[in-house]
Order: sequence, then C-alpha cells, then structure tokens
Amino acid sequence: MDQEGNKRKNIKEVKVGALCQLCHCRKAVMKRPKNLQKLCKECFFYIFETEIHLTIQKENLFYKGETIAIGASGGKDSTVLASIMKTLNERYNYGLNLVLLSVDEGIVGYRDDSLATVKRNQLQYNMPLEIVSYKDLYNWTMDEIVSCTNVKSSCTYCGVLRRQALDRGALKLDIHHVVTGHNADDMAETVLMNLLRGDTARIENSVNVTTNSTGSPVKRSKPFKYTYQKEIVLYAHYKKLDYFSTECTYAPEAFRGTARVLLKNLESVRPSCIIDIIHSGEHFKLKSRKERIVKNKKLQKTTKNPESQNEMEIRPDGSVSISASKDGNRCERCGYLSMNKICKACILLEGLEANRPKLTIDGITSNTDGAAKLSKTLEKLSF
Amino acid sequence: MVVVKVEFLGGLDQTFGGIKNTKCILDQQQLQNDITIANLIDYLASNLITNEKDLEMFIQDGTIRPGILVLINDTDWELEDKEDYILEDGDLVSFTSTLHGG
Amino acid sequence: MAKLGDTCKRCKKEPTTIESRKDEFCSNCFIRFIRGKQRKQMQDEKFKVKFSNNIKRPKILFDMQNDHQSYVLLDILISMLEEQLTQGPKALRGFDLIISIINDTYHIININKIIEFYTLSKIERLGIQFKNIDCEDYIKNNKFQHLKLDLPNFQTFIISDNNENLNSNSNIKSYQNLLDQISDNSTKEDLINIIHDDIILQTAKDFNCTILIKPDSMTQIAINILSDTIRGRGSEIPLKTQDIIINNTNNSNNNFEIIHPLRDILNSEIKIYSNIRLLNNLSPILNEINLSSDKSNRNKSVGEMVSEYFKSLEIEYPETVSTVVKIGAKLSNFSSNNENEYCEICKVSIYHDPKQWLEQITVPGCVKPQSEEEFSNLKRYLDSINDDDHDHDEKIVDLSSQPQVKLCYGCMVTLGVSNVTDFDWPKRPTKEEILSEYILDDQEDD
Repeated sequence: MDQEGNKRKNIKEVKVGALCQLCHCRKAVMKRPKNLQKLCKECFFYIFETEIHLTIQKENLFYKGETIAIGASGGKDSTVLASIMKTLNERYNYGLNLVLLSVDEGIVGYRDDSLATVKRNQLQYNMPLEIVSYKDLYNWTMDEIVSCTNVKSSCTYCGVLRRQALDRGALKLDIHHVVTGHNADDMAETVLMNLLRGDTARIENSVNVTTNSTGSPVKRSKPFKYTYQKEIVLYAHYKKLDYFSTECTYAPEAFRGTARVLLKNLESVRPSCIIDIIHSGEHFKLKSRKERIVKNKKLQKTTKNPESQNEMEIRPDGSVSISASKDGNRCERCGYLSMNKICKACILLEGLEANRPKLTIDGITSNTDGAAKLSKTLEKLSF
Repeated sequence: MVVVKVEFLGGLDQTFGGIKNTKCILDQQQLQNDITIANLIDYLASNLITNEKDLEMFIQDGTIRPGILVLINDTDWELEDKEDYILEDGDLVSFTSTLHGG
Repeated sequence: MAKLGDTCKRCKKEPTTIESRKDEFCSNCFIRFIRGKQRKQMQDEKFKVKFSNNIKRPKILFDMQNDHQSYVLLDILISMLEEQLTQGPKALRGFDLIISIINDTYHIININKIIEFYTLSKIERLGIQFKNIDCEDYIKNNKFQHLKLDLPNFQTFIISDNNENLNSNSNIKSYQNLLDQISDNSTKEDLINIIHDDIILQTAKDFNCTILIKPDSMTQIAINILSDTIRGRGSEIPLKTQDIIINNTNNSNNNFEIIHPLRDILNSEIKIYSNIRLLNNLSPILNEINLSSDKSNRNKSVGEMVSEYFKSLEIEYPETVSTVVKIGAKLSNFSSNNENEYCEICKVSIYHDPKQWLEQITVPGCVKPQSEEEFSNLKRYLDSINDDDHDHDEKIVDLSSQPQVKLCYGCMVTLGVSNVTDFDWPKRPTKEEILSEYILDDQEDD
C-alpha cells in the first residue's frame, strides 16, 4: 500500500520544465498567446484579473459611486465580464454599482436561450438585470427584419440597433456608462475590417478603450481590449462560469466571416498577431483633410470640399455606411442623439418599413418562429 | 486499447449532433504504436461527425481548426505535445470552441 | 451588355477577348489600357522624351524582383522608352533606366534570358543597364554586431561592440547564415524585406539614382498594407506603400523619390498582360500556378496568408483591394517625439517606446507558493537553475553593463515569436544616413 502510494507520488511530481514560468512552483496548465508564457491556474487567474484591473486604472475608467451597466448577452465574454467586474469591484474597492443590461433582439431559438443564462447570472452575481427589446423600442424583431432584408446585412442592422438599444436601456435606468465584453480578438478584427472596408471614420479611434461621442449621454468602455479570447474562454472554463454558447441563428455577415477566418489562421502561426494588430490600429493616423484633397486632386486647384451631407453608402459587401457630418444633434424622428439629421437606426428602419407591405403581398408573414429558419433555408438553397 | 472521456464545449457540441460528452474506446490492433490525440481526432472526425459539412468546423489542414481550444485533463494541449500526446486510460480531453458568440 | 467576342469598343476593329473591371478589351487595347495606367503614374515632365542632351535625364533605379509584376513593369518601361524614341529624329530617351537585380537564393533572375527576349540591340539602344547585386557582398561589406535580447523585459543589448575585428567574431559568413538564425517563416520574410530595402537604397545611392521604382501592383500594395498591420508595423504603412519624396534641403534637383507605377493595376491584370506579351517564359516562377496554397497553413508566412486571402476575395469582393489601397494612401506618418531614436534592426524611427507599450499590457508578479508541495517544487526549480549556472559559467554575461539599443515594436515582436535571444545583425546606417543630406518630409509640404 505504502509503496504504491509513494510510487504514485513520484509519478505525480511535476517536472521542473513543466512548472509555471512565473511562480515556478505549480504545474503550468496554459500557454498565454500574448507572450507564450506557460502559467499555472493560480498565476493565470492573478495575471488575467490584474491586467484588466490595470487597464481600468490606466484609463481611469470609473469613479467611485458610479453606476455601470454591463452589456450582458449570456455569452462567454459578457459572462466573464460580469464575474470580473464583481471580483475587481470588491477586491479593489471601486465602489461601483453594477447592473446587468441585456438586449432582446427577438431571435427565436437563440436569444431566448441566452437570456435564460443572463437571468441565472443575475442570481449568481447578485446584480439587478434590465432587458430591453427591439420589439418594444423599434416595433421590429430581428427575425422580422431578416425576413425582410437580405440576410447578408442582418449584422449591420443588428449592430446599429443594438448599440442604440443599449444606450436607451442604460438611460432608462439613468446609467451613463456601459461596459461591454469586446475582447482583443474583436478589436483586431475591427482594425482589419476598417482597412478592408476603407472606413475612414473609424480607422483612427476604433481601438480606444472608451468611446464617447461628443455630447453623448452614454459612455462605452471595453475593459477586455487587451484580453485574448482564448484566455477568456479558459478563465470561464477553469472558474466554471455559466455561459451560453450557441451561435446566432443568423450566420455572421459573410465578408466579416472571411476576415475572422484569416485572423484565426494567422493566430495559429503567430499568436501575438492579435495585439500586434491592435498596436498597429493604435498608430493609424489620417492625413489632414487638406493633405488628402491635395493628393487626390493633384492637378486641380484646391477647393474646399463642401461638408458631405447625410449619405448612406452601400458597400460592395452589402454592409451599410452612413457618413457623419455634425456632432451633438438629435434625430428628428426619434430624438435620439445623432450626428445626422436622422439617426442611423431610423434610416435603417425607414428602409425596412418601405419593404413591409411588399412582403405581405408576397405572402410571407414574419411573426412565426420560422422566419429565421426560412431565411436560413433560403440561404442554403441559393448555394 | 485506451478509454478516454471527451467533451465538446463552447457550442462545439452542435458539430457533434448535440453530444456534450462521451466516452471513446480507441483500439488500434494493427498498430503497435501508442495511441495519440491525433488518433483520437481522426476517430472523432470519422465516427462522430455525421454531416460532412460540419467537418470543417472541427478539422482544418488535417488537424484541429484554429480557434478550438484543446485541454487534456484541464491542461492546454500546447503544453502537452499537442497531437503527439500519448493518451492514457481515464484521460479527459475537452474541445472548446472559442469562435461562438461573445 | 457587351460580351466577349463583340467588336472592341476602343479600337472598333478587333473582337474582345479579355474581361477586366467589368469591361471588355481586345488584347491590343488591353495592353494599351495597362500601359496607360503606368504612364499616368509617370506623367511628370521629368520622365518625358528629351530632345537635347543638355536637358537633365533622371537616373532611375528599378527594384526588379522575380515575380510577375516585375517582369510586366519591365516590359512596360521598355515600351515607354521605345515609344519616346519614335517621337521624331531628334528624340532622346527621357530617363536612364538601371535595373537592379538582387540575387539571393530565393530570387534568381536570368538576365541573359531577358536580354535575349528583348534583343541586345534594343536594350543597348534604350540605354538600359542591368546591375547584379550580390547579397554576399552585403554580408562582406557590413560590420556585424551581436545583439542579446532579453525578451521578458523587452530589452536589447549590444555585446562585444569593439569596432576592431568585428567580423572575425561574427558567426555570419554568408547571407544564408544570417537567415539561418531564424526558424520562423514570417520572421524570415520580415527580415528578408528589411535587408532587401536596405540593399536597394544603398544601390540607388551608389548609382546616383534620384528615383526608385518599386514593382508593387495594387494587389501587392494591399497585401503589404494588411501584412504590416498584422506585423504590428501599422505606422510604417505610409513610408512603405505611398509614393514619397525625400527632400534634399540643399538642392531640390537632388530630391530622392520612390514611386509605384503599377499602383493602379491588379494582379489578375498583370497575369493577363504577361500572357499576352508572352513573358511567362522569362522565369519558371511565372508558370507556377499556386505557389503556396498547397502548403499547410502552419508553414505559411504572414505575407503568404494575406496574399491568399486577397486571392480568395477576388471573385466575390473585387473592390476590396482598391479599398485597402485607398485607405492606405490616406494614412499619415506618425509624428515622432524622439526623432533621434531608430530601431537597431530595421532603422525605422521609434515614435512610441514599445517596451513601455508592452509593459502596460502585461503585468508582472505571480502567486507565491503556499503548500508544502509548492515550496518543494520551487526549491527544485531554484536548484536546477543554479546547476545550470555552474555548467555554463563562462557564457553568463552581465548584461547590465552592456550598452542597450532600441528595437521598434515590429522587430521586437518578429524576433520574439522566433524566440531569438542571440542575434547577429549588420550595423547599418539609417535610411536618412544612406541618403545623406536628405531630410525626410512629406510630399505636399507647400
């Protein structure tokens, strides 16, 4: 018996080479993609949490007594965010009031399940939960929108609407700061997408931790800006966090999908590329408007371009860009803060309304749970 | 013969017909060699994926698709020789998709 | 809707055989269309036909590489010079073309084949010179320094920097030695690019050229923009992909200029051009269809992956290439606070200390041992490194007394992913020093 026990102990003794590269006293269980360091579970938790704390400190993200809405989808990023925010708030005495804020896009078979996860999180983390729905805000569910538009652009619609929905939900609770679970992989993808779509409006600032449009009543922050997706998943796994992981019924917009695949392939040969791309993104600077005009119209006499008016540009990939002109205005339709006369959401919804009657003529009704399924089937058929 | 436990997490269960965890019995009579994770991956790909289209959600370039996290007894497989890790009875191998919705 | 086989609407004679940019061409008109794109990039007075030897002819260095775009650009440049000589009995060529061919083991260009193809008499009539640059000369003519990288602390030191006998100490005897220090494909690719740019600039200077022509097509520029972004070199994009003028403060006739005459031409168009003009026999590489796509992703470099990515977008998203090039052209040089700090490897000026940046996103510290087992593990670890110290006593160099040098973010990362700790690298002047008296400035200064 004793001998057997000893034998097992000997087998179990960790080889020196397999020890954590920080504490050198516990077995390493993971390899950090950021710098290829091998860490034990304890050091990983410590480093993971502390790096996020440092980002929060460096950016002066919060003030004592501030109420923060955590954009919660039930997915891994926002579940880890809620957990981390609670942990750090208690550990470092941020003095924050934390609230979970969820958006119900109205996607049957996806969002209803993930909202159930958020409701469990509400109990697990003991935080209040507010749910705002597209249906209440816009009188459209995502399922209805998809049945009415090209599925390719559903992410564009959803993105614009969700952003506004989060803001409105926050304001309803008189909260002026929303944190979201966007991680380093998301940021890197955004940097690539900005280049691939030639998005001059976003190229300089899309990687900021905090975005706050002039005069906007709601500030947004991304404490996970430098946090790898892999580490978020590992953290959730090791901490046994309860998260929901089904892909949205609507596949991501195909063009974005291509960038995502490229990024994942790159990461497998060069894991640091995620933060390298963020580093690049932080150092993009546009030439001044004057410089660009001179360059473009080398032969013509330089005249000042009139400020571009509200325009909606449909990009080749099917996504929509709405160019900006002024800051701090309100949408004429809905009163929501908007850089244009009419806010993005209203422009998109207006386009949708125009399509609604046509659809009923075609005999497609959109209130069944089949809408998503139908479009999926259609998509497959066209392949 | 080796018996290992396998888990599909983070939404990857959808690729495997909703199976979240299973037991795999790997038996390689013709080969005297040890049974590795590479053998397990082949086994899973050919026995548990029914829809050909789902294969690319799991396999790319003959190995695990980038973005899927492989843990062997809760340890990152990158610390365990990856595909060449020799399986032992009772090992728990988990495959977690990091690609599914945030 | 026009279709292939219809009469070409440009010349109104030949049937169309080529489809590009939603337009149809006959082969002659296509060639004219492509050449027109290049002529537009080189329409400045200085490139035009001269009618007197008293008018200064610029000396142009063409950075020819062993790829499709280079052979096509060479063909176009030759056609331009030929055209100039047909403009009257007194017409003289508008510029002196020097073609630099850097022979490393990866790119072998057969100059004789090229001369044979165009005929020696034509090459001589057009005053075209070929210059073979040997990478081994680069190794021979440079002093090497030994760098020691302390990656966990993001520091780099120079070891044994006593200018005497520098090369005799160095392990680098050949170009291959230099590259053999690196195993990672992406890092290798990165370093090859750095050396290439270094050699080409030196060559331009050696032959008193005031203009450097890069062969990059629109597709290649897009690839370079995305690759540099991925390599953490986003701030270098303007310098590397835009046409730039390096002003000579003393004499504006001596400005140095880098241009990309194919910047409006897609790779798919390059291939068509090369087929029509029968250039494909000039190099075996032009006949290979998929150079890297049969490689597994794991063996691909960043550049190869990005170039395949663009290829995959060609059909469904053909606009992407030009979109990326357009936004790349809008990027501005990052203004530097510390003008005098340069990366020891690539010589780019360092505007934002990468050490500082990296330290802000990676936390030091750990969780101390608690259990008995953990303490015993730590002891075993400490014992093991002490043993190591005894074994390699003479190898331990006290780094703190060594001079430190700076690396830019991109170089730090590229060496870091290859886990390089010891690295021999030529001690090179900066770009500014090579083109001495020239001060880097933007094109539209006025």
